[in-house]
Amino acid sequence: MHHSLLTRQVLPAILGYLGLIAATIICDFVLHKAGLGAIGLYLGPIGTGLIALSFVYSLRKRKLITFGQPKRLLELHESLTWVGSLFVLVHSGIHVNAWIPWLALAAMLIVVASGFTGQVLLRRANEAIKARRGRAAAGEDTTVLDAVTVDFMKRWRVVHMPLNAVFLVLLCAHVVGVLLLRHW
Amino acid sequence: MQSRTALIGTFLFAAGFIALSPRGALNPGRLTAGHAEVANNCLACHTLLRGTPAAKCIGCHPLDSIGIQRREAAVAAPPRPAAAGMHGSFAKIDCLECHTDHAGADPRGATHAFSHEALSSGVLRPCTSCHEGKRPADSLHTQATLECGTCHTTRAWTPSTFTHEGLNTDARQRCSGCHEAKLPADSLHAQAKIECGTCHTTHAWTPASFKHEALSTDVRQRCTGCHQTTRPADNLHAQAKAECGACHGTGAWKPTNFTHEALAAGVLTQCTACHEGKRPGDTLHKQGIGECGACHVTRAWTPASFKHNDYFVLDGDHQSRCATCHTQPSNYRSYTCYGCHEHSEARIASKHREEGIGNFGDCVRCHRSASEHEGGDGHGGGGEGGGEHDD
Repeated sequence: MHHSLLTRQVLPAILGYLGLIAATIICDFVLHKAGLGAIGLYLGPIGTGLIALSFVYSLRKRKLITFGQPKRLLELHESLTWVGSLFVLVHSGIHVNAWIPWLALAAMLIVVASGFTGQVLLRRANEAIKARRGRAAAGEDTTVLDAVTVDFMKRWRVVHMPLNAVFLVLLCAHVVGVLLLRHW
Repeated sequence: MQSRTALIGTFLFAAGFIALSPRGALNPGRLTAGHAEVANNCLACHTLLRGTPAAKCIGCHPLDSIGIQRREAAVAAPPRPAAAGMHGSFAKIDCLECHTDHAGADPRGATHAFSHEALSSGVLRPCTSCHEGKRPADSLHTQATLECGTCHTTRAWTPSTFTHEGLNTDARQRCSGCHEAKLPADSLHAQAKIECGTCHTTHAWTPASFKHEALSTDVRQRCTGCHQTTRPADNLHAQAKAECGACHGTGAWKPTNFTHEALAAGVLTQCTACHEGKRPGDTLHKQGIGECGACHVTRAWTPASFKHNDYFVLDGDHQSRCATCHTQPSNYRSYTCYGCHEHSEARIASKHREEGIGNFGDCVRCHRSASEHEGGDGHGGGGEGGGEHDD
């Protein structure tokens, strides 16, 4: 059971996170090697835009919009945030300078880690629901199981959403700072 | 609720951070030493929402003084007068197109790398107006009067597109002006007084189109001056005193137009000195008869001019060794018929006197074979009483 959980749910999430770091290093290396390091400057806004676009899923979940299948939008959310985070990471490079953008970056990495955690929890919840259906069909009382499953996701959201808020504010501070002072 | 708290809390944190330490919060990189005095005053260079207008830079760095006058700076740098003309020529002044003072003054750190395209044509040429002192000190570049851009690009010094056609005629014809140490140290090139281009092309040293005709008469006639070690070590060439050109052409060693007439008289008579081992192994030649030239000509071994039958037919009892008759070695014109049992001098004299023949010293004048009936006045004629018969 533990082995199954690790390989089917936890390991892909860890690989997804580590893959993000590895992809960042590779992209950064290739761009600098090709003399295209300046492209990183533009990857920041593009990555931010992709991350912003991924929040269509959140709008759908809160029924602020009605189009799109939640399952598909969730997959889109996962993909866009991964690619968007990659772009932002390449944009930041390894230039340790201003604190605000670096805090924003740290917040983004924490949010991404939180996102992968939510992904694991959601898959566990889905499996629990399938199991509940089986037990209910067998005449068992599944109320406790339902409550545990819902509780897990609620607890995760309590962490994930404030982290998003922190990231959002720091990101906005960085963007505003750039808009105010940067030479365009 | 938690999200709202995080939102507000982070906002307050960020706002406070920026307010208390704008440099630490937003500064994207250390400023250059020259700008250290304004390191804590972002708005000294930046204008909110407008970035860094060129006017602010020019306020401190007038275009016509760039490169000439330096402001107070922590790091002194040598003046670059050429840079003044360059900056004053820009049609559109945007300092940050090339410069960035955050993350250092290294142009490599500039957001936008400097591009020569931003320069007006008047500044773009000549290149040395900015790249002063950059012209290489080698012979090529010191002689080249062309603009750098004829061969080099603004992107990089190499690869260059140099072609000799870009040189003026004078420089192009004086190859050694640039390729001074390239002349091979061999005897050919040491003696050749002609320009390299006579034989070589500007594309490559080889293949060369060398022709001996290009050499001066004096050099051309002294083949061994260049071909010092190519004279064959055989007898012919060891003795030949003539210049190689007497027999060999300049195109190739062979075919040759060798004639024996080119040999010295002393060498010409010593055929075997060159044609050693060529003497036939037959009876005639094995006997060490005289020089080849007595019978053979230099043009060919045959036909040989010698026919013994013209003198005396060697048949019957006369098929003997040459020395039997030719008793003087190497002089086969002399002979004697005496010495055989039949031809004793006394007997011969007696017989001829009986016939009234007094001049019988040169036998073959009358006797051209061993025939009993041969005789008479002989081919030589003039015999004083040449006999009609022989015994």
